[in-house]
Amino acid sequence: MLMASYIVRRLLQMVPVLILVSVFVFFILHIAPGNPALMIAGPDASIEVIEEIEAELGLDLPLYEQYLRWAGNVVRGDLGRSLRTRIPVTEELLEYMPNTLALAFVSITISSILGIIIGVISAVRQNTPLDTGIVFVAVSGISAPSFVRALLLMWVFAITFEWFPISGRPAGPLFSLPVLHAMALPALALAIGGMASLARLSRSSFLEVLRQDYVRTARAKGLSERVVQYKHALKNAMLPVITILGFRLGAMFGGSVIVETVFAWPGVGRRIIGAIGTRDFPVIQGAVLMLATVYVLVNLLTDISYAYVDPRIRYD
Amino acid sequence: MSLLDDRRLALVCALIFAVGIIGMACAPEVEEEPDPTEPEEPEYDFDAGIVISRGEEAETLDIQNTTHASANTTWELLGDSLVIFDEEGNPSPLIAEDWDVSDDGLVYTFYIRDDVTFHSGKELTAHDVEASFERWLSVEGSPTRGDLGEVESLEATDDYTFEIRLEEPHNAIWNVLASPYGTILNVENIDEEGDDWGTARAELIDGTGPFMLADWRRDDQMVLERNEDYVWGPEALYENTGPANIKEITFRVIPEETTRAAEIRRGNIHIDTGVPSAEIPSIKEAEHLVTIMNRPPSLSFLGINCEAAPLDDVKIRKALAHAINREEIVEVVRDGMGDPPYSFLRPGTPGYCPHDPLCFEDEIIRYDVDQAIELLEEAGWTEVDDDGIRMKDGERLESTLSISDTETAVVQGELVQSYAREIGMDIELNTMELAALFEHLRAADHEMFTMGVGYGRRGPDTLYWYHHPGQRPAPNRFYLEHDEMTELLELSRVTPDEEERQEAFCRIEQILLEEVPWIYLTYRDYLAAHDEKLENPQLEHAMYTFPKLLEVKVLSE
Repeated sequence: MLMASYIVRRLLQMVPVLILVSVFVFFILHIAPGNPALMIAGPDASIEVIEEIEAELGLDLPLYEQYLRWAGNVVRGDLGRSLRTRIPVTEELLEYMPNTLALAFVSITISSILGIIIGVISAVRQNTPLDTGIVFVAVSGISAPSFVRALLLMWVFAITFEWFPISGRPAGPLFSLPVLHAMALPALALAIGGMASLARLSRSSFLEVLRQDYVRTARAKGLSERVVQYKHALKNAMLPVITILGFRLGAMFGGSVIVETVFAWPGVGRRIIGAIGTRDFPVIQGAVLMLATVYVLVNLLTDISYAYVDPRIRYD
Repeated sequence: MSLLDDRRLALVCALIFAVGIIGMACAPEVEEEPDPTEPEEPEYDFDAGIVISRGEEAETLDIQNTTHASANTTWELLGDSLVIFDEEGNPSPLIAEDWDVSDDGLVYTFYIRDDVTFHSGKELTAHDVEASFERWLSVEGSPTRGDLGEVESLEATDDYTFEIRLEEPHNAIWNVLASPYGTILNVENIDEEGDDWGTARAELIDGTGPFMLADWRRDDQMVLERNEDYVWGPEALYENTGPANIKEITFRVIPEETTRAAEIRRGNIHIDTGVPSAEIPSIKEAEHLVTIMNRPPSLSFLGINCEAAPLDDVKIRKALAHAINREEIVEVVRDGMGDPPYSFLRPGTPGYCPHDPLCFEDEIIRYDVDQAIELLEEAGWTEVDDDGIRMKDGERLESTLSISDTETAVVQGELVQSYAREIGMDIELNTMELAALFEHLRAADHEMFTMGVGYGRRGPDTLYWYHHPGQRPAPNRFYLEHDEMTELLELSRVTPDEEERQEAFCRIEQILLEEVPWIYLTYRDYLAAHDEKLENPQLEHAMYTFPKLLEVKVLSE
């Protein structure tokens, strides 16, 4: 019951967050130079044609009126139509979003599993050459921009060894074998950054837990080191790691813009890049709003999952 | 005895002959030894498909409402226009087998073929042509409908005759009639789909071209299948008038140039019409790839706002033109892929000056720093400040060059900046994103800018668009007042006399060199590449007119 009211409260808190996001994105876009009607008509179009397009798209209205009109439609579930493709934005996003979410899901799964394993190994082997090596690789992974990681992975695994397709998304269901095969490299390119930071966090968290009194007690009780580390310490060390998993999703969405372009993966990130270049306002606004909603919801899920990992936490 | 023997002998001979004949008939066919001097006849796979890469998705397939290059390419394959330009740039039959133009240039009558059908199976008549043109004129904000000129009426006078009546002559109408924008569409489908037409359901895209749209996954791939009924391909351009020799075409959208190059090297892509400069060496090295150079009618130029001081003085404009080393720009900016330009129209393209020597030979502006300095001094810019910048009446010789933020534009801008510096002119670069640049230029507060123009579709009529005062603020961003040029531009559109039209363009080229509202920088070449297993893909002009792919054949594995 307490949990239900907590969830409702958090969902209500989402509303002002999303309104702020929408206002911010809307005005940033409209203040930036570049006229969508001009981009549709082409740089050489006559004034009459541009004015016609502006009137057709409502771009000749005052800014606040344009926002209110758009926001009113959003409340009714209508994100408008793309200025360029004329397709309803909702329809476009439903087409592109599953590809991005699947990429983010696979990427977070890879980065979590590998990041935690590497972090724990690094902690257990603290101050050994293995630990130093892992720290070096992790820092390199965090530092390398996503397009460098993407091109490097493509060059090694797709072009040189030919183990994976170079680019594109084969037809078929999202989690079918050919699609997962094609998704492997973009997901890994996205995962490396997260994996590196998760490894660093897991390491420090695990080391901190190992210094706690209850760990000392467990050792004093005569439990084997393996049981102490993996049964008692690991679960408690994971709490801060879960926190960062939710935040990682935002970084994944940011990175997907580049990675999807490099691997020709038809996701929302790539669609946003195209929409920014052509000033396709409804698509950018709709995509950002949808990504923000997913982000907020995932963070809510993260918070809820605390209760299951740490029974001391109560949502009252 | 001897007689009998002779008969026996004849009988035996007849028997041997008969057995021989039967034996020959029943014997297995003896294969002829191949002549080693004769080349082996290649075998083709007529059920093969090919994959073509594109950097950007076609935003919409509503060809009457877009100028997007990917939509153009697609409609070259999906549809047909009334006429099509032949190699010399003259209109030749396609949907219309013949046509008449009235002496006053106001009435165009087209005689439509009676054997053309849409992909849906519907027979094409003059009424479909009329409906397609009517719809074109009614599309709100269509960027191309204005190219038709002032249309008074459109009418299908019978099932196979279509008439366009203009309010005033418009020679340039052929440019749009012969382009994919003039594709005849099945309007019934458009009415059914409303706003969604061209964007949503593939089965509603109904043209008459050699290929039909089978599947479209946006930003991923588009699949076209052979139209087995197609037999009306343009004879002026293709020996094979249909059906095509390949069964399927897949367009794959790959925005990143490095990825695109990797895919064609791996053999996953069979045609790339624009190999990026950085990838040219590796593409040329690949043994399974054939490369073809495209020399499209396109130009990059530096435009000048002739009303903005100090560039309102023609001597300054001309001095800057002399200071620019075009050969070096082609080498540095285009990696040697192109030519230094000295006129708007590229030599060899339709409309280029037919005279020998050129009628504007004397006006050509070549790289000559001494001449540039002389002109500046003639204009009174004789003093020099501590930075080496020329001065006149206390004013520095300075200007701003607005450019887009692409690497090519920035490098080109920096070169221009350094050339100007050599003659004592200070140029500040104003770099901005493309969308912002277009808006900035439209506001007319620019001094100089760089831009590219492709004139494959409009031909020399592009000069009208770029320099007629009625085309301000865009694409006429030069603000040059020149009555003679304006009159000549207008004459070029209305005169029925082709020779007079040609002379007008020659004189306009001359005026542009005298007045220097723009400085030509490069004619750009493009490299197309295709897999060696494709025969005759006809990619020589693919950068501005994509072929209908009627001739291409795929060699059997």
